[in-house]
Amino acid sequence: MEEIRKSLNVIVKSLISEKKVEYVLGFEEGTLPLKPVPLYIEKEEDIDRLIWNEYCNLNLVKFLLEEPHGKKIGIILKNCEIRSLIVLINEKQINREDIVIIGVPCSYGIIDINKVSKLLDGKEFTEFKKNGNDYTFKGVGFKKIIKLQDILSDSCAYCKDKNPVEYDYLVETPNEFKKIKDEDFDEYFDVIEFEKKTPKERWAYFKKELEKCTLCMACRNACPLCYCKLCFIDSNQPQWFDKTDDLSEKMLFHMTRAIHLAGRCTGCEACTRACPEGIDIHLLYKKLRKMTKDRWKVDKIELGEPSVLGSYKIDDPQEFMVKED
Amino acid sequence: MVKKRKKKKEKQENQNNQKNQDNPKDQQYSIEKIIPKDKFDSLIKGLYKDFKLIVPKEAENEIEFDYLDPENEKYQFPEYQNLRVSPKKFLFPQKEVLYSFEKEGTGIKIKEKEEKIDDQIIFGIRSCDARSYKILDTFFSSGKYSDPYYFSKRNKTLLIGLACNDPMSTCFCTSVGGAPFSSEGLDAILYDLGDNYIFKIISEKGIIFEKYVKEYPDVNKVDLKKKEELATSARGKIQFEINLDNIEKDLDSLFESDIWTKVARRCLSCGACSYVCPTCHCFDVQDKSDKSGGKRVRIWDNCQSSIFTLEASGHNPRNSGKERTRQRIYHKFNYYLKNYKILGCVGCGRCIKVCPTNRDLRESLKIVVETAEKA
Amino acid sequence: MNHKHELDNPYIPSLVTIEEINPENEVNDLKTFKLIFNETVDKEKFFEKFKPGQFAEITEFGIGESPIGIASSPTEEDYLLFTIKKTGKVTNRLHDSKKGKMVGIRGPFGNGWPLKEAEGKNLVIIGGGFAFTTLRSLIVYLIHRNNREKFGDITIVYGCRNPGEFCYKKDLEEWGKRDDINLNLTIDREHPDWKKLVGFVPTITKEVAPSPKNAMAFVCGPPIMIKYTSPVLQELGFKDEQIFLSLEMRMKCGIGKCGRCNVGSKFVCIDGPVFSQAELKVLLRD
Repeated sequence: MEEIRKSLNVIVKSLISEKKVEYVLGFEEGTLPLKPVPLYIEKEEDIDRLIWNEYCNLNLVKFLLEEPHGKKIGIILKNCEIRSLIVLINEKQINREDIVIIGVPCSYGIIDINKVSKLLDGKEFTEFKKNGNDYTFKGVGFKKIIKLQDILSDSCAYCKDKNPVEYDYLVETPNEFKKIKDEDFDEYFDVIEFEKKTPKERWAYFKKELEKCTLCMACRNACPLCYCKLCFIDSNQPQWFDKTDDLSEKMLFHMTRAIHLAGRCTGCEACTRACPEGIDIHLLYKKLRKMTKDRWKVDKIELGEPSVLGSYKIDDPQEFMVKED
Repeated sequence: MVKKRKKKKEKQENQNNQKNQDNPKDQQYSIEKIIPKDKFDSLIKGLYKDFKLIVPKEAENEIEFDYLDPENEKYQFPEYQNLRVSPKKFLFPQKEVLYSFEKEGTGIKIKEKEEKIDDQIIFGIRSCDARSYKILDTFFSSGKYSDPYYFSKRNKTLLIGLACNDPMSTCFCTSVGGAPFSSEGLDAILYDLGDNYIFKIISEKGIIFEKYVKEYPDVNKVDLKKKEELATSARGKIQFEINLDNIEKDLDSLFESDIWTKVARRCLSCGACSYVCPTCHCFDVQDKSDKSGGKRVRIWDNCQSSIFTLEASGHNPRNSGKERTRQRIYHKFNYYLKNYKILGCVGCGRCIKVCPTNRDLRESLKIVVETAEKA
Repeated sequence: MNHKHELDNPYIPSLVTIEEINPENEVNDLKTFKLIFNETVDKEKFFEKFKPGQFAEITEFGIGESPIGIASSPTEEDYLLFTIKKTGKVTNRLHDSKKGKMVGIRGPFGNGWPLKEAEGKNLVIIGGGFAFTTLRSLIVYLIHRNNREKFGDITIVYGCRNPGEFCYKKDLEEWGKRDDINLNLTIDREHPDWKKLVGFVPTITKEVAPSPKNAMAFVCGPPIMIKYTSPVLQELGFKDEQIFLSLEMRMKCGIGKCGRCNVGSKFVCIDGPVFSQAELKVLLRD
């Protein structure tokens, strides 16, 4: 990680000193452990605060949406985030030439702080230490060692798409990160396992998870692909959503959002990590990714390619159409 | 100079009625008992005969306030510093029916909500949450209209606190007029001495508890000394302190300042902070209906959402994160002082913990105070 | 707890029936609804508090509630008038209503125009577009036979973009005939059917407003009109304490609890909607 940070320093420094961008968006340590915050690097001295590690848990692409077209911005991204930026470029929300992408190959993935919190029974930890794959968390009256794989975001655990596909600068990383082997697991392993459950079990699972939802919209607002000026959930005329916290309304919100993201979601899981209630919502989105893959043979978003549901091709599968007798 | 300082002190007292005092004036109810921890369950069972009890309970992955059913379980406090979600919802639920109506031909018949509310105790709340009810009491009773839904529950509710031996890293109650051992707003308080609790009656309403604790011995000097030591130690564990004596004036001068762009820059405009906040009380009103009738409900709302102030015409006075962030801070740290002479924040730190982008209210307050000092 | 408060639940509406619906403008997105209370006791309670400049929350059951300024005067004793623009979901449904329909009403809410302070003074009443509703309430109140002599000269400036937009045409005709009102109707640009004044409200105000001495101005209109009228009044010598404006904000509860209509530390629903220019100056406005 330290090597990555050094390489980043060099790239960012040249971008800033040569005034190639107005600022570079990265992360710095926040006020709480495992809670880094977006860092706007505008001056060279800001670079010292830059960090890069496995708990940089937001998708920074979200913060590009508020910037006007024509403003040159540098941004440090992993591949899932680069793909979400590609969606925004494809959908003409952001101009490719406005953005200087500094791509970083992803090592293990990102820690889901909600998983940490669950494993600590909600207790506050004020310190953590890393030793290889062991993470030691300390708080008042406890110390607990947790393995990295138990706190990684689910999508990261099964991710095979770790090398940047689009970038202006690529950070050189140690060899171990570069070689991402096509190991003996399916990228959609967790979805496939979930599909084996009965409809009743699946319903029970989502019901239990979504009952926790307070409709705070952190998931939607953390997602760079949710950029509608007026979200269907906020619309008054017509009003699709009755704005109460009934389970049916929570379901309506999450399912509609999932469908809006079908063929667009890149599995960065910023939504799941942003959820203050620790709801595991990622399966819903991942299932739709798998469906687009199974049906249209497309699951990775490429620059210049229209989205699966946003375009029509003559050979699109049509098995859902009912034949007339 | 002396005069000026005195004035400042008065203001300080106004700000929160009591500033950093562990025990407010009501010393006259000198009922202070020692309850051994192994007798605690029988105290709970005794109270349960006459009250519904809302207590911290082990839930799936955390500890939550919930109704207790002590018939089948022995109750002890689980270990907790404070809970992620405040106990606000027991008096101000996220969704609450205001009334229902039936359609009768072309007419309408309104049915007022009939709610049977039992006497209840919210048990084991920390000092910050106790003070949050004081704030909600002040707000919901302010002006010409008192809120009947809040008070129908509030008037049936007693509060028994559990003094805070181990404040969390995000706690800053002492900066907003509280203290880990404050009994302000409570009817009774427990102090955890290790093997025993001190049970102390605080308010006039709390006298009702006398009969449940009279069998226990009175506190002695040793216990009280230990309590004082714990109070000092707890206070020492608060990691953040800021002087907010001039916050109202500071904010008066900073409304147009460019600090708000900076403070708001990372805000996602979600409602996480408002929903865990023990004092946020804004709500939305919505109608639900079917063929035969319907109901009107109110639901928690939050000022960070852009539709909060969006008018039907399309105009929105708080159109960007900057105005909305500013509103939340002004509401708690300026408008509350102007309208009710109290702060609207109890320093529980929940908003800091919950924010997906680590927007830290303490940092924002620091920026405000420092900017005002420079000006 | 809280014995000082009104005993009724302020969230429960009273039932009223729509007795008349009258279109107000040519494009037909503005209608005046005449509402009759179903129960006398509800009516009495409402009228006990009712002052010109206040608003009420109107419920379309199952749809929602909308805050609307009251267009009738307390002196029109048997009914309430609301002039409603088709904008949101509640007002759309109201516009589709037929006579005889039951709706809900809560109120009256807000402070209303400062009538006590206005006694003995010359008044200039300035309005624009359809935001003339609570000004109609005010004027009808002022010129009522029991009230007229309490007030000095009354000057009215009412401007619209074109002749088809004027509300309350019957009232305007009647007021125009009276010699105790100086009525000035103006449109923004020349129009073949228009024989009265032409020019923007601020310009006309400058020409017809009374001397600021012992006078007060009541203003209600679109933000752009207010923006340009206030400086004109100041130029004429009106002090901030003499100028009163009626504000609009998104509201829900009407009783200062839901938290969205604040302007600085004040809630428009309970501290307003009428504020003096002096009050507004010290409020922190988004």
